[in-house]
Amino acid sequence: MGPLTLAMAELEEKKVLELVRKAIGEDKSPLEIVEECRQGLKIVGERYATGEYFLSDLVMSAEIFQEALKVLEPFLSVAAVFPENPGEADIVFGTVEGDIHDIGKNITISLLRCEGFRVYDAGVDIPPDIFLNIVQETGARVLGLSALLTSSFESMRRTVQLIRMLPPVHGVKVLIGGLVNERVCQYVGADAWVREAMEGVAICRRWLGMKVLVSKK
Amino acid sequence: MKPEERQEQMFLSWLSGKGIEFANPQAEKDYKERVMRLKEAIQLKGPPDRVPVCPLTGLFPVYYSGITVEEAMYDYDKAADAWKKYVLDFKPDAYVGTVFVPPGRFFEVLDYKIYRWPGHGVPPDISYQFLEAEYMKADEYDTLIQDPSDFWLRSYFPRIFGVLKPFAKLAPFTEVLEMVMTCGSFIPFGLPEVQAAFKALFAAGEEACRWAATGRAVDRALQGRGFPALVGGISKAPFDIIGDTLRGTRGIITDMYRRPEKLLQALEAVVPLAIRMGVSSAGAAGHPLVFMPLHKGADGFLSGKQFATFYWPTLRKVIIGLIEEGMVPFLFAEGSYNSRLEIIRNLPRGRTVWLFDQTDMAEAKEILGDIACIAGNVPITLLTLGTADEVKEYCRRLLKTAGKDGGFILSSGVAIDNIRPENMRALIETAKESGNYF
Ligand code: B12
Repeated sequence: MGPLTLAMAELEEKKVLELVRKAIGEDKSPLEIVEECRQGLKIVGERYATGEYFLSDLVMSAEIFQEALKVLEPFLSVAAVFPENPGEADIVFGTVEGDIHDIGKNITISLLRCEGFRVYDAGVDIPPDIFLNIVQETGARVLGLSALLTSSFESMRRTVQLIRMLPPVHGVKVLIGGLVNERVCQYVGADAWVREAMEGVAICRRWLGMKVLVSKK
Repeated sequence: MKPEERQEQMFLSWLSGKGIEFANPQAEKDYKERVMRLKEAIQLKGPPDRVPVCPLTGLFPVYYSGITVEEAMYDYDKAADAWKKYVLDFKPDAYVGTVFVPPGRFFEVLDYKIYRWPGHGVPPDISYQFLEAEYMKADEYDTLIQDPSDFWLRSYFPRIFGVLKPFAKLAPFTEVLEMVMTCGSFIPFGLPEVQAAFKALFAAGEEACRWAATGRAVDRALQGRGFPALVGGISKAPFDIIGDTLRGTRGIITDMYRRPEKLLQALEAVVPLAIRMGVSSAGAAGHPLVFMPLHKGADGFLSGKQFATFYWPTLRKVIIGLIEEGMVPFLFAEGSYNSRLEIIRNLPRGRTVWLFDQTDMAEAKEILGDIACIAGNVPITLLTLGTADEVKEYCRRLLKTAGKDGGFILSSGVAIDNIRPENMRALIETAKESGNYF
């Protein structure tokens, strides 16, 4: 395990950022740096699964990763997409209207960005029409929706309905996560559902192909 | 006066029913029996006649009486009728009051930003919901620590109440000193926008008075019929005060890593405020129990070390501060507290109530039983989806384990909203049928 992976796994933010800057200075490939961070995030996830880490640690790990990405952003060939500059995105991701739970969303976005996907984080409590606008603006082919409240399944459904009204050329697929299951997936009309971030990443990889990762050495 | 004498005095004030007009002698007798039952369960001086049963109702009375949450929040009389109907129909040993239906119009007048409620973002029959955000910024810790009230007034209010935005223009009150250092602080009161904000405050205050008057009438009516209120006052753990509505979940978590010293200072700064809040609210009600919902201390959320560093020390100070004033903190431990039981044992005996949600109740009895009255924990999933027989079966098991030798109040694990009435009945009846100690 490299020092960057270790610092990430130990949630040492300052050290992570220092090591990232140092690696950039040494002309290391940005994607390699991202990969080291991701290994660290994976360890965090494992420690959470075994009960060694807690929700607080998960939240912090996503936070540190976002900070590392900000440092790396100018050097990435596939720029991370931030709300300040929508540009093009592969995936639009957000929490549906009426719901502000975003811990799971943020973790999943971190992992997707690790994989090199350009993810647009739409934020929380996003009405259907805003989702539609963002999907059109960014040309994203995957829409990731998060919901943890039973009462927000309805807005999830309305969002999917709106997206389905786009002409077929867009071919937008909808992936949902959070407190969802097969019944919810059918009810809202999504293409797939997950309860776990890594499964979501695997699905996105399947849907979007690995095109982004080929640039990795 | 020693804390235990103060506590006894508070209990006697509650027990006396002073100021209550009882409907008849039987009602008075019932009232006193019910308070006595709770007093004995809490003080751990030997079991009461039977296990008290006090469901933690949230909006149950609203759903049960067939009105919407919106109606309850806007038509105070309807809420009042709903509460009376619930209590008189089900006869719990104590009831949770109408504080769970805050007045919609009040929040409209102030353009309250941090919740949605029926008619304002959620449908008529759904509960109000908190909209978490960083209503206090990471770099505002010093402002909060130096002068909490000033922070609340001039920084926090303008963010959470749209109408009070002009309060950001007010001057700090502590700059009023000598004659020549006085007038300047009052200039903001001359600004039209500030004056408009104050006019809205008057209107909000009038609405709050109307709402409170209905709440008091409900209390008078129910107590007059022999039913005591479950709690007298309310307060919160310092970590939740800062983590819930100020910094938010993500904010306070990152602060533990990025600025632990500031967070610890801020937690200390709000300790006296939390004690004051509990003492003044319970004191005014003449009722020792201070309800304290605990949010972010649950298993899984913070590590054991984080709990011992950031959550527990200041919560304990608030608990002790309340106990010294004769109050009985009623701690509602949401989620599970299995890994916290040893550490929270460090409290004086017979001075607190711990209502558990998903905590293992046999374990809680074992570890905490000689220190505190425990309460709970009929699962909300069972109450929502189970049958009445299943509810009774669960309650009977609880009475055997957690209820052994007193020190137990039968209740739900979380606040009850929309469950089938027969399950509520099953919960309450089981205590009366199977909860006798003698
Ligand atoms: C933390 C929390 C909060 C925090 C949220 C902080 C934040 N910034 O997110 C606060 C305190 C603000 C909050 C508020 C409320 N909450 Co809340 N909350 C929780 C809690 C404890 C944890 C949720 C969480 O973050 N889990 C950890 C993450 C990592 O897991 P996750 O979200 O499932 O995500 C994973 C996967 O699902 C996946 N994923 C998630 N989304 C997506 C999307 C896609 C596309 C993909 C691929 C993957 C993916 O990635 C993650 C990693 O694997 C849950 C209880 C619980 N244990 O679940 C209640 C819970 C969700 N809350 C609940 C409720 C009721 C509320 C409130 C309504 C309470 C109130 N009356 O105010 C409000 C609602 C506010 C609102 N409008 O949304 C209920 C929901 C009940 C229901 N069925 O409707 C729960 C279940 C608690 C309960 N048992 O009552 N809450």
